[in-house]
This record gives sequence, structure tokens and C-alpha cells, in this order.
Amino acid sequence: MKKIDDMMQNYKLVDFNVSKIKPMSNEGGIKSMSGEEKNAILQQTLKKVNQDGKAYTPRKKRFILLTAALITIFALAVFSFASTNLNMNFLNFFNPKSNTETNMLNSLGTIIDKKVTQNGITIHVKEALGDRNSIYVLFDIISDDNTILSDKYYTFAEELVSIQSKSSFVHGIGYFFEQLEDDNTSDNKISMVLCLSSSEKLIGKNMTLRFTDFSTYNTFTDNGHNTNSSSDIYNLVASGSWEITFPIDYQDNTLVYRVNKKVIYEDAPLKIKTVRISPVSLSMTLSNLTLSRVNMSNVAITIYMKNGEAIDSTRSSGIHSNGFRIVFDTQFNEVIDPKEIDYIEFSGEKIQI
Amino acid sequence: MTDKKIIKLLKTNPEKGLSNAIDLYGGIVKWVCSKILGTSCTQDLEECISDVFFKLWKNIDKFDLTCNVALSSYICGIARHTAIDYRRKQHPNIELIPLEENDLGIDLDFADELALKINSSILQEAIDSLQEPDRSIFILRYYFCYKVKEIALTLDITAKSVENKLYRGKDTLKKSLIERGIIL
Repeated sequence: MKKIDDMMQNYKLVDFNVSKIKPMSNEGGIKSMSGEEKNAILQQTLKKVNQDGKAYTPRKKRFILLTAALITIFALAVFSFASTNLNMNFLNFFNPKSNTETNMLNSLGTIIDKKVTQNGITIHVKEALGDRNSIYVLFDIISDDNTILSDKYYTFAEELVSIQSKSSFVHGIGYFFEQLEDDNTSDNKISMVLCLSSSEKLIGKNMTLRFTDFSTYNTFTDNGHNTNSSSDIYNLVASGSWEITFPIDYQDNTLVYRVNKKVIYEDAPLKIKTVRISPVSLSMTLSNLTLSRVNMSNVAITIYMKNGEAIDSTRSSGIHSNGFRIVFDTQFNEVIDPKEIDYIEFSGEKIQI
Repeated sequence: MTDKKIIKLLKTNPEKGLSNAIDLYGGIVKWVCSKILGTSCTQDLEECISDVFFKLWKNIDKFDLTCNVALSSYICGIARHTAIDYRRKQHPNIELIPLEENDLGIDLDFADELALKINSSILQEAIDSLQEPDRSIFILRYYFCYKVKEIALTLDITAKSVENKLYRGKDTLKKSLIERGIIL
């Protein structure tokens, strides 16, 4: 190798403070990326991450739920109503519109009631609700020294969730946390919900939550961008590490349909193998029939109910892909009775349920 | 947010990790990419920047915090070679730096695995042992692909002085590499 710029590929830039270099008059300088620009770059990067298939990432997005042609009902579970009475705030997180829907949610739930305390902060994992591939976990964070927890957004500096069976860890999970609206901002307690989905079956496995340094956000603006990129984004409320493990053990009321239908998605031939539907989520397994990567970041699904209603609004969605097998899932913003679904539309194809 | 926290987030929650990484390093990455690619094609520039952060996420397991290299330096390295790749695709027949200025006069072996390890270490030592501002000038020219005039403006010295220092710097580096036992 004779060219110096090629050789520099093997040079590690240490002790060179690029931020001290003065910008040219015709350029914006080093910190010239706007909030809008950052957001555009983030979205482009996440698309590439989702296409890559190395990891599963939840993407909060609206989507349109579709139709499809059902070929075989693979399995059909029977709902067992009101086996558990879940916390009303937790139930309201799913926006039930009737007692029937509340009962449907209760039938998916289980009580956990496990606690861990360190440095005056207790994590109380109370309840969980879910189906084959998605789970929601309600937990309280309680300050034991009666410190009032009144901020709108609490977090931990590190939030790790793992799911393990006796012999291995579940790969391909995506998760995020949402703080429930605090009904008493002058007490020492807040409630949060973990929303997680996986490409693998969750029931019968153990979940471990690991948190570090209970904090509030520091300088976030309305558009979600840190106003001071060089400063820490957290204000520490209580330092420490909290770890808690509990079984994922609730009734699986997921309806599973074997579809085996070929569809074309953005010029790529795919085969929808199975569709799994519960009152809170939908997931589908597809086979990639090409050797090329399929970008499913813009996938649109609409659910059409027997009463004619079209449901196109979801809480989040995610894609897990290993190249040949693609698992797409989405969590609903409202409770859906799977038995009342007429058909699903995926990429313009009608899947009759 | 510390490098350690960003690395953990990239591994466990890519969306949050990437968001924080772009907040902290987006400006530097944009700057590096725009020095090499120019700013005329915003679409290519944005695509290149997002490729940099994708590669950061993809390769984060390979980044070793204990090797004493800051995450910002690692990201600058990714940004540099990603932008150079883009530029070579855009303009395959146009050299980024004129050949006569870019030739060190010795042919270093980076192909063999052992030679790569030894020569990378020697190259690092040799460049880092250059006196300031010669080292900064050398890095700005050959790492960030600054033009001579831009270096002069940046460091408040004349363009002629930059040219002289680059010429002498190349000579010193060549001698230093040979003295340190570079594999040819």
C-alpha cells in the first residue's frame, strides 16, 4: 500500500479533538445537525437495522391493518373470561370500551406480586397480561423514604430485559417502557408498563428485569432531542441496581391460523405461513422466497371487523428476520375480539379469517 | 451520557441507543462525511451518515472499551471509510488527494494478518510522534481530506507553510516508519 490516505484507514484517531477545529466560513461547523435532520437520520438508520435482522427492534408507528385469505385454522383457543381481576389503571392502558372487553383483558392476565428493594427504592412487579408473542408487565416504583415522585417521565439509566427458558435465552425480543398517568402526583409511587414482543413463544419462560440508577430525564425538549448533547441526559434520583425474575405464566388465548398464502410485497415474493391473533396483538410468520433482503419497514396491515370497522391504529410494531424467516408483530391500541375479525389485509392481499 | 451507556443501549435497545448516539455524535459524523463527500448532494450525505450509524450498531460488539480508544474516534473512523467508499462510487476516476501528494514512496504491507497488526501499530506510533502542528496538519490532510487552504484557515497559518509542513511531515514519517521496522 503506497497511498497515504489508504494507510490512514489503519490509523486510530486518538488525542485529536475534532471539536476544537474551527469551522470553515461556508460550513455550519461540527454541531450543525438540526433536530429534524437528526430525526431523519435516525429513521433511515432504524430502517436499515430492521432490514438487517441482527436484532428485533420495536417501532412505534401507525399502521393499516389488512386482509388475507385464511386457509386453515391451525388451532383455536377458547377464552376463559375474568379469571383474574387486573388493576384498573393497567386495564385502561389497553383502552377497553366495554365490560366484555375488560373481561377479555382479565382473561389474558396473571398476578405476579414480586418485589425487590435497594437504596430506598422498591420495584414491585404486580401483574402481567399477554399472549403467545407479546407481554405487558405492570410494575410500581416506590420510594421507601416517602420522597414524592411527581415527575412526568421517570426512567432508569439502564433498562435490560431478558427472557430465558431452562436451557437458553430467547433472542429476538423488542421492548419499551411507558409510564402510566399518575393518579396521585403527591405520593411516593409511580406505575410503569413494560411492553415487549418476541418472535418466539413467551409462555412458560422466565423474565428478568434489570434496572440501574433510577432517574428523571434531564434536558429533553418536546421534539425528543437533547438540547445539550454534551451533557448527561439523566438526573439521578436514586443510584443502585435492581434485578427481579418471575415466570411468564398466563393462559394463552391466541388464535393461530395456518395461512400458507403467497403474496408479493414491494416486488418480493413472500409466503404468509401463520397468523396469530389475540385481543391485544397480531403476529405473523412469513417465509422469504427470494435470496434478497426484504425491507418490511413500511408494511401496512389493516384489520377489518365483521361489523365493517377497519382498524388501522396500533401501539407499536416490530420485525424480526433471519433472512428467510420473517416474524412481524403489532400491538393494538384497542381491544379486538379475534372472533369478530372478518379479514386481514396485508400488502393488498386479503386474508380471510 | 457516557460511551459505556451508549454501547449498552446500542446492544439492548437499538432505537434508544442510536437516538442517543446521533444526538451526541451526529454533528461530528456529518462534518467528517461532508468533508469527504461535499455538501452538494444532501440525499447522498444523509444516506452516508445513516450508514455510519448502522455500521456502528452492527459492529458495536467489536468495539473494545478497554483498548483506550474513545467511541467518538471509533465513529470518526467508520464515518471516514464509509464516506470514502461513497465517494469512490460517485467518482471512481477522481482521486481524493492528488497522486503526487498521496504517495509516501514506500509500499507498506497491510494485506498479511501479521503485517497488518505490526504495521498498524508502527504507523500509529510514527504519526503520533510527529511534532505539533505537523501532526494535526497531517491528520487534517490525510485523515479528514482537508484541502491545504482549509488547513491554513483552520490553523491560522499560511498555505505555503502547510505545504512545507506536509512535505517535511511525509519525509519524517517515511524515515520514522523505516526506523521502527515497518514491514514492506
